[in-house]
Amino acid sequence: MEQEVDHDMHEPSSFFTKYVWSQDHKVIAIQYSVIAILVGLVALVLSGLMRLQLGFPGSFDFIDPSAYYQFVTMHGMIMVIYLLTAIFLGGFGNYLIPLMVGARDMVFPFVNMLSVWFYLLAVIVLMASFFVPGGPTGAGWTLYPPQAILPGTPGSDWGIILMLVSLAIFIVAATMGGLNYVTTVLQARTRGMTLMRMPLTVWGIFMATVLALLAFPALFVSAVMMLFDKTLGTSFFMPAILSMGQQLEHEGGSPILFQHLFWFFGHPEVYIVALPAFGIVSDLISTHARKNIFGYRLMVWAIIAIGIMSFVVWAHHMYISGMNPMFGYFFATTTLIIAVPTAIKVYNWVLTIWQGNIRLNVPMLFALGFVSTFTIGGLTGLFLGNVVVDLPLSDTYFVVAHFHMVMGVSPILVVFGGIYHWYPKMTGRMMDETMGRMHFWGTFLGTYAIYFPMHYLGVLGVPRRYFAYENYDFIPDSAKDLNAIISVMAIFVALIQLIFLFNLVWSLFKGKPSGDNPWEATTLEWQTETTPPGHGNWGKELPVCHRWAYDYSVPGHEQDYLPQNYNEVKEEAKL
Amino acid sequence: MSFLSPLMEKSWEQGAAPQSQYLGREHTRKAGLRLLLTVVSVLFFLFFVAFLMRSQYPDWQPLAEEANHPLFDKSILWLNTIYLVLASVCLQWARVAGRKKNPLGLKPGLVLAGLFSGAFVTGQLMFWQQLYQQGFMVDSNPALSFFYIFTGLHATHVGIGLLAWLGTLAAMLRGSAKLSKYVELCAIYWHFLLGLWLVLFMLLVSKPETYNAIVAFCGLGA
Repeated sequence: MEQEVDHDMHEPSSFFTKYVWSQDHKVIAIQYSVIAILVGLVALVLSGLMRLQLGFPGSFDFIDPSAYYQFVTMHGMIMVIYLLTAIFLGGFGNYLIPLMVGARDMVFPFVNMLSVWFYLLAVIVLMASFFVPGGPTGAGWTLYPPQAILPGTPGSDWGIILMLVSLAIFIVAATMGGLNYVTTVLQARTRGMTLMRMPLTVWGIFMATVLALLAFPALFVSAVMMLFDKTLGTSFFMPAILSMGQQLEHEGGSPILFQHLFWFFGHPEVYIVALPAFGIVSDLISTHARKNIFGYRLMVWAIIAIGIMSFVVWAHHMYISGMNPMFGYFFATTTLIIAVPTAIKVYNWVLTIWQGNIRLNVPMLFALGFVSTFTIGGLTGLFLGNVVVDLPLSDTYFVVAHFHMVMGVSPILVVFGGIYHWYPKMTGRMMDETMGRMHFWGTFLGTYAIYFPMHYLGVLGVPRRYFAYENYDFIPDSAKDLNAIISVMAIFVALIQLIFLFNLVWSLFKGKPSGDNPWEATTLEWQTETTPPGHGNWGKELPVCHRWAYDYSVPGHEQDYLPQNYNEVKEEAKL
Repeated sequence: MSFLSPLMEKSWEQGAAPQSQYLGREHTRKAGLRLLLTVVSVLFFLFFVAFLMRSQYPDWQPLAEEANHPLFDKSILWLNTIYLVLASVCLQWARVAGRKKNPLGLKPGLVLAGLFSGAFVTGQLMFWQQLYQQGFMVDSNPALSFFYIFTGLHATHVGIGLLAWLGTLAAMLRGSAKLSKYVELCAIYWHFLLGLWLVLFMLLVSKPETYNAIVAFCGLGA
């Protein structure tokens, strides 16, 4: 076929070219995922340490206020960027895009390899900040100037510089990966794979990558300018300021300018994490309910609409920053409008499950868990999107509860669901079902037990970002008890993840052999000749796509699913 | 609205015979490059917005209004602009020659373009040195800080282009059959470099009234 002409089909032979300096998208995907999971574990431990302080204040000597702020900052930054963004785009995106659109690899394999090595470099630079004098930055994950670079903030000497450099390297890595994902989707689809025949997973990752390519530059701009302010003494963001009794050299800069730039990145970032989750969950639900996805076209249009809208809502993070109140009116309106396409997606998931032949296996459990947590977390977003409701709640635990439900727990449930779902394709073995169920129920119920009570704390007015809550009359003792319970649950959920890690490794050797298509799914990645797919993914010929990705329970067919490369005419001729 | 029509397909209905979606390797490379340039455009656009918003604060000092301003003497910058224009023209020459399969224009055009680009980067560094000698440092005033960031990033952008140029040069020395395709990509990249530089240059030496007008028009002032 014509695609073959250009493609380099030399199979790498040595260990290094095969597994280390590999240009194969499947190996790169696994490298991305392993690094992301490892760095995510660091962030998980940090959250446990934070909760120890909040639940049992004063019991742990090594957690002083500086350390606490460093834990908070690094936990947030790692989870959002180095875990979720990296695993959805670099992990799932790399593995699934070429397989699902029927390509042999990404279109620029060398650039793809550079991407993962830059990502590793970014992680190493970030981790190095734990070992420099003063430790990592404790400026909060938003890194707001002026405090982020002033003495008195933990890590304001070395930590903040390493953080900004690491972010800049990460952005280069994400851009190199992103160019590949978008170009592959647009240019390397196999015969018959029209845009509207692509599985929603690809649509979600594709749109999220477009957002990443357009939004990460804003973070790059703010990181570079803050680096200049810190190291060269410029005044982009730094106003005239007295620090520790001394007049600093800076004058005239605008901290609000940083906030605008940061959130112009920061809000699309929410959807960079959410859109791949939307896509993956659509495929999990459809496959495991044996029903075609309800409203496929609307699902695609909603992904596109959310993607576009996500660029005009950023200032809803800044209602209390002192910007022009007219802006608040505009941004509240756009924020509430973006709930419409999102709600369409939730309805469509529920309607897909409706009267489906549900197979309640582990990936499906995680998918259903996602729909639940995402709906709860999304609803509180509607509260906070209104300026007058946001003003009193903005600095309380209500916001912590909201964003952890909607962009912490929900996407991570999908990450787990996705791993349980595609692990058989990546390794040829099933993950253990019993351990999977224990992991799901522990995580799902546990995270509810952590974040649901936080809404009450927020409504009580318990402020977020505080190190300790002594001597505040308005905080009742019951709130402190609740904090202790939340901390116990947080440690419990963290420990439950050990089951998952054990399962991941154990199943690699002892898991039940899966065969090529254990879930009886329609999409192309399950139709490869070998499992796991070999170099070049397909045998001599690329698959040809004859239908959309959701032909489940089609009337008049014995089999309850028709793969995308199933050619009716040809099969009938055989009979 | 032809780009919308693929999104209207009712993919669950029985479709026509499967069509090939593949347009060729050259097309893929071009698409990748255009996407990269879009990302770079967004990056600089955001810098421009930051520049314009910062220009509204009271400590702002214009760069090229009076004789003691750093960019008042623009002769080196104009010379550098001419280098970059020549680089772009040479690559276009090579591109057209390549399409006509005329080896006479292809190779000299490619080589000259690289030399002119090198001259541009050197010239920019000389201008930095001149500013440095006059005592105009990166933290002297906010507009100057932006000047250093803009020209530095743009020079980096040219530098990355020169790496690609070296690769193309190697392909030329190897006698690669795909040379004209690579030159095609270089030409797109260099035209973009030139356009970006012209916008940068214009923005940096504009009058404060121009900034105020743009800011008022875009509603960035609040």
